[in-house]
Amino acid sequence: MGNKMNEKEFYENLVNRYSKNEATEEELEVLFGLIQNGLLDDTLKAIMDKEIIYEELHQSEDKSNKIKPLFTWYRVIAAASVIFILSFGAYFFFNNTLSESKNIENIVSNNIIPGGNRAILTLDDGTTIILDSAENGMLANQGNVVVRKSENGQIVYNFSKSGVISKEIKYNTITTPRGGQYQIILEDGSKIWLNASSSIRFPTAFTDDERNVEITGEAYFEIAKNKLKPFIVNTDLQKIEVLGTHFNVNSYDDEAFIKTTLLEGSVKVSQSGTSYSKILKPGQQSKISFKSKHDFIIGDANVEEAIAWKEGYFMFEEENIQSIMRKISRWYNVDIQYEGKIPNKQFGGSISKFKNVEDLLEILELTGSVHFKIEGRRITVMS
Amino acid sequence: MALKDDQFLLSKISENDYEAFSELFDSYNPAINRFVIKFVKSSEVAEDLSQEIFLKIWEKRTQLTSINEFRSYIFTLAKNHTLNFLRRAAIENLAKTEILSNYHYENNSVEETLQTKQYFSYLSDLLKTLSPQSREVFRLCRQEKRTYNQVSEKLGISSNTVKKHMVKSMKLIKYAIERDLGISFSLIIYLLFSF
Repeated sequence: MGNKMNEKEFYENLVNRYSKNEATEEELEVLFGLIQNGLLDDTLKAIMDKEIIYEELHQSEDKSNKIKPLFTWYRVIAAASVIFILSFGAYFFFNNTLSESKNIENIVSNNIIPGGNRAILTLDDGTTIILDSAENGMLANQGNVVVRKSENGQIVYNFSKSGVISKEIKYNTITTPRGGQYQIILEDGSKIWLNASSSIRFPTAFTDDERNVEITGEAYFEIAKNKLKPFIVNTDLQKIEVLGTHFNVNSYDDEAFIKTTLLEGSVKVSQSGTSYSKILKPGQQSKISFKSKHDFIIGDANVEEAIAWKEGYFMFEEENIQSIMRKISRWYNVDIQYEGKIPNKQFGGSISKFKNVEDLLEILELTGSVHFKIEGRRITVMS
Repeated sequence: MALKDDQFLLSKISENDYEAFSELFDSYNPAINRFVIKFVKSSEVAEDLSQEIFLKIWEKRTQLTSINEFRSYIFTLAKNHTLNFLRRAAIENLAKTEILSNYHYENNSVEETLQTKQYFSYLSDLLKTLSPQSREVFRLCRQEKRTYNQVSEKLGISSNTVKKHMVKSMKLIKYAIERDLGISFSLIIYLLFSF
């Protein structure tokens, strides 16, 4: 071709696309190949220099907002949307300046701390075990299945060969309160992360030709592959059928939709009481409306947003304050009320979920479109 | 941060003032982190690299007063560190996996212009020139990405991990300060937390 793109232009494009996360797998492959051969050094340096200049502008933007650049945040007000982006990293541990300059009205001093690994296990016979206070080690021996609590808020089901063989199916339920989360490894090796205010009911061992579980609230699944035994997740409105895959289900009944987000493999989502079913591809999300039977939508998912809770942060994507407050309510175990007009701005950004609630609210307040009052365990939202 | 403030902090740091050092850390670390993460993708790697950068500054503290523009000095350090890491990642599977597992592709559908067509044809030409070995290594890293993610997801759920991670990130600097000044560990933690 006569006007073929020259080397330099190509390199620049490649590095730019990489820095903006727009490069595909193939481009990454070429990128690392070129770096290995020392061909990208000059381009990388040049683009880094540009980034440094950009950082400088960024810095002055921080200052013009009279915020110490302690948190990596900036705000963009475009049309009706207010976006705040907060980078979360170790450095927020290095300071607590924000909490000192608090202007959120905290009438009854009551430190609202983030949630943690809390859950209740209910055995088949109705016995309940509070998992957060239970000691690590064996919790129960049910027939030929041993239940153990391991470190880091994890409960593990193991088949024990020495146990009494029983054909009878025993069901266990794990329930997280508001402000709780838990991780479960089922007998087949499938891993399940349970978000706050959620539950899962499952057989201690999968002896049927199907692996059936029921959930409420939100959970992330990494299903162990077993082509002979499909794994089925039942919720109020839908059934998800999988062979082995990673996906997230958000079925909180105070939300508008049940959302199923697929990360890997494929799943079949069927709407209960209808004959509708759809197959999801990785990166897709299905939404079924709690209100209307006819709302069954499939679209591209923001996967990062869907599993942010599991990764330890909140991520808001053009979300209204009510949706954000529902997440806050579940994780910090607080009640929410609104005073006056409910702010109708959209918020976006992400923040660690291990910060105190005051810090999170403070960041939201910085957008200038919402204010809060904390009384005991109740947060009042004001415009 | 104004140049005057920088100069003041640097001269204090050159006299072993760790509080001044902490202040310097606070004012530059966010920007450094933001910069590094654009190229290494992993927040953990970015933190580690930032720590190394600041460690280097601490180690060279006696020469700090001769720096005219600290900002370009620290960014040059950041640039070199980042570049070194990328070079390492190009040959070392673990480092490459670290990047790949934190790289989240964003599909901003590009217009099909003549330029993008040329770009992709250039890409496919280059792809063909890569040695089979290096392609194999890349594929391996991509597969490892999955197991790697599982491990980090497992850890990700515990708030304990966050603390552990914090301790890990601060370890380098703490170690250096402790070694140089002979002051106690807990005191440093207190200082780092209290301003």
